[in-house]
Amino acid sequence: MNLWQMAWRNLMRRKLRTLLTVMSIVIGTGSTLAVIASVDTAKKVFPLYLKAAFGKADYTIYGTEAYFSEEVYKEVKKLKNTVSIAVLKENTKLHFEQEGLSAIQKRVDLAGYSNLDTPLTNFKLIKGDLTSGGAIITDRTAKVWKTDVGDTISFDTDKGIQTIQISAIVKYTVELMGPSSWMMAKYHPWTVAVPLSVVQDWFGLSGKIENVQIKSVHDSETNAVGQQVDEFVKRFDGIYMQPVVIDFDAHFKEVETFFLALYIAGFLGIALSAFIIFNSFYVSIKERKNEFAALKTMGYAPEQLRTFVLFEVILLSIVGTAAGLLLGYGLAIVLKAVIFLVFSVHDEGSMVFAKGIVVSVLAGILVPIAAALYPIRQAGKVSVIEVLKESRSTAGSLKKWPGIIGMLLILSGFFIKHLLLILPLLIGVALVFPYLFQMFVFLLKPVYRLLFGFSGEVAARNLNRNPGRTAMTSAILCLGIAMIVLMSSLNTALIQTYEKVIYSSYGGNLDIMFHHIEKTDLEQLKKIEGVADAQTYSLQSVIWTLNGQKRKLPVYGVGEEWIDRFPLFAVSGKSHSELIKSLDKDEIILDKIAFGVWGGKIGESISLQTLQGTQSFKVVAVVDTMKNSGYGAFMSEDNFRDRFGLKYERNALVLKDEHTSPLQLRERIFDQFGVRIMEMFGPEDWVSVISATFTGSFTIINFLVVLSILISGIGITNTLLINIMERVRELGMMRAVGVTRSQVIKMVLLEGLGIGLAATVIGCVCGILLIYITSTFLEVNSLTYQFGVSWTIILLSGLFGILISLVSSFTPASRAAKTQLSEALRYE
Amino acid sequence: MIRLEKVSKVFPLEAGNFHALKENDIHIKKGEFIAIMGPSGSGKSTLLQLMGGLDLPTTGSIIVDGVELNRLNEKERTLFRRRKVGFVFQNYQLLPMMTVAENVSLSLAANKASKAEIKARVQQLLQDVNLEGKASHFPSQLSGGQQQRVAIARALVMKPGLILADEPTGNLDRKNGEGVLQLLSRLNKEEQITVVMVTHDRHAAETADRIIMIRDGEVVQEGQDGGDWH
Repeated sequence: MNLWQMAWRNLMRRKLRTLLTVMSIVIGTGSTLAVIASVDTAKKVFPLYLKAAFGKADYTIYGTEAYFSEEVYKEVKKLKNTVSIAVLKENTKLHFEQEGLSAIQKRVDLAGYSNLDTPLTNFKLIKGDLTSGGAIITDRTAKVWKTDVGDTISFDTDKGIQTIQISAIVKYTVELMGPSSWMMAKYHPWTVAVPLSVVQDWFGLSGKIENVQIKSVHDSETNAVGQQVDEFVKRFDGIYMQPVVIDFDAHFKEVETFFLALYIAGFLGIALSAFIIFNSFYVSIKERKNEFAALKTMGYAPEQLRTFVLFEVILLSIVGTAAGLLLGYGLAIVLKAVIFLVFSVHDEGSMVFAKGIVVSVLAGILVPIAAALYPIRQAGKVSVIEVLKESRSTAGSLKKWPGIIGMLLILSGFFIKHLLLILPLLIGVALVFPYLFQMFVFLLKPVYRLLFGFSGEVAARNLNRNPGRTAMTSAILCLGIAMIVLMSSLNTALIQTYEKVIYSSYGGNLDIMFHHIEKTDLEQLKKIEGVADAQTYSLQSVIWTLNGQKRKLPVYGVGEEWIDRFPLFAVSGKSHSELIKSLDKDEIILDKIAFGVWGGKIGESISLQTLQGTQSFKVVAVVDTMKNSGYGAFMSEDNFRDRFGLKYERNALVLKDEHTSPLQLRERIFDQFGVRIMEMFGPEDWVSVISATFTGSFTIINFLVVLSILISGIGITNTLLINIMERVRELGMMRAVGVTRSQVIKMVLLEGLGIGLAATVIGCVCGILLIYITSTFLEVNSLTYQFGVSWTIILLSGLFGILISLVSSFTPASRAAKTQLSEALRYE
Repeated sequence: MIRLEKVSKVFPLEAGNFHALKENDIHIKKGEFIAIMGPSGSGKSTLLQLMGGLDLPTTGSIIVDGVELNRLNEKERTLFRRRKVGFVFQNYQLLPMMTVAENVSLSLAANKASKAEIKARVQQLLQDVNLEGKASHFPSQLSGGQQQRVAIARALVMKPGLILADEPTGNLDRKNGEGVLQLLSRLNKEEQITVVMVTHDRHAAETADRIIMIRDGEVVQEGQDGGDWH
């Protein structure tokens, strides 16, 4: 018989245990592959997506007024080695007869392009023709509107109802962003692309455009084209040029922290499966001591015995890894889809599997081997003399060194100011766990005795019989519970913190973005019923040169007379107006995120591109804000106008009175201004966006942690099965002296419950400790959060842990109850 | 006390059925001390287990103390064992994580007896088996003979009318074995407890009133002297 055959037969001797151990490898390998493949795909796709979505052009020419002459575009077209398009966007309303649709749901951004089939629009045609002069909509919009190429759509414009034929349906793209349903249309307008002349004609803007997008034909000439465009804009009044900057940081600020948390959750899966493998083989070697002793007497060398076991481990890991890859493949696709959904990235590209497969195969093979090394060694060390002596079952004693090392690792967690502290801390908890487990069982014993009588008494005593094995099984579940508590609490705490900062720095109850604000708009706004006060403000996304790299920085022009009523940031110590008043001409305030990105100190300067060229601004203060996702700078209104020369404003802040609801406010304002409003966003919208992103991210992490907890469940089943097998004679004796089946079932269930209770209680305490430590340093989007414990989360996590332990105990309990008495009492 | 009529036990094996017992008729009177002897694999322990309701015969009926075991369900048989039968095993089968007193009281505890009742009964029994002062010891702290005496005390805790002992002296030296046999004999004589003991040891068997010889699943001889089965 060859070694593989022998390994297979040995594994088949304990089919259920082998199956459970393989399952732990499957889940561990699967979660590793899923995490690495989905994160790698996201890392590859996100920048490409940003580039494709926002970086098709290299440069954009804007006007200091809302519109500028189309003549500029005619001249731009003469620039060498460039492609360009002129763009003019207006808001309109769909003329669409359908019951139950409000005006807000019919809002449409009409985007006029001088050319609809260029690399700058890069529409991916599904059906129709891009150049036949009709309207272009996305497949998503076509589906909701139930329209097709050749159908006509009508809009309510200043010049009455205008109709245009749909000439093409293209894949969903950022340029033609729109809602996914009529319901979502309450929050986002639709977008339709049409030829430039159509917008000019319908809105009486003949010869006017809003911006010109320019792209270098050859990537190598981008800088030369930039210089050309820079020189070009100097020939005209009222226009300026900005390079198109893909600001990855601004879009995916905390994505790295999220990926790290995903890696930790994935690592937890494979680490916990290592525990199961260790446990299984440790017990298997103990069970087969007699066989190994017999083989030794026949002349087998220790290395031969070790080889037998090694082959079993390798066989198990090959089977587990193969199945794990299949599971991981499916999981990775799901995980990628959810990650992309959470970060609003629309990409149907292929997955990046290579690294994930290599790492998960290595992990799936090497982790089991590493985990089984100690038991393999024990197989070779079996002493014939020892085995021949009758062994007495005695309670094992705990060694001191793991406890000391564990305590040191837990203490080290207090000094590591990084999310990675989770690893040493959890390892520390695992090492200290057996002591904590013993203490817990000591306290549990009287409770069990009181509540469950005889079965409880026996179960509590059994919990202490194999402290190493039982405690380790409980420790595995404990780590999972601790992670769930930490992640769920972080989710809640961060959302609450965000909510607080959003409401304190939103500048009112509503921020309305117009195409441009007319002189009379503010007065009209203030007269609307339910509006307590209103204020317009300036905002410009300026080019910030940092360490030789260009990035964008939203700069707000803030008036000292209104900032106290419309706070766009949170400040402590003095009032908003005092801070703004104290600003000198070349001084600026940064928010925490921009300050962190910059890496400088208060008193140092940053370089921003202004109408007068690159200028230095001294950073004099740092504030908290969640305006524009919490990334921006503030300067005084007058100074802003001087430096950036924008002659029009687009945004207005509104305060509502007590009796008006946020929805009523929006409806009344929309009734007044209609399609001139490009966007209305309130703090509650922002809170819901942030909540959805965080909850989505944490749900993914928690899903992986739940997978680990399932592994813990497998561990509990495995350990209880091993315990029962070891105690089969005892069970037989108990049944012989009159202990009923239901008492045996209760005994095993209570033993499993004890493992689960210890894991849950210690896991929750450990989770709370992790929350406390992370709250002392962890910043997400530069926001720290207050230490706090959600008892709902603790309760739910606890119930989940207990449920897992009870479910995992059912099979062992039923096996114990079915013990054949005659067999059990004969068992040697 | 015990009546076995045409009792057979067949174990299905891969290689075919194994007939552990073949249509045996046995009658044991109340207060008798019976030794069952026979070579390994002859069906002695199977017979004992059937008498104690640990297993059911394939055919035939077993009546113990007026109760036909075949007619009882699993739970009824368990309760029957708890109340009517005391088991003593060769390797004592004491629970290592329990003290002597707790081991002895196992059936009482399973029967939800009161603390006071348990304490009094255990004290009495330990005195009966000469183990006063060992109540709080763990089995690992006792000698083999002491452990077997604990096992006998455990078997007596519910005041059963029948003790089934499977090789009770098998793991003991002669002196300790002798002590255990004397104890069983005393219980039989003084308490009128029926004792059925499986043994390999002819000397031990001689303590009994009657010896039943069994070979290949069949009772081959009964009487004061079991004859030579070697």
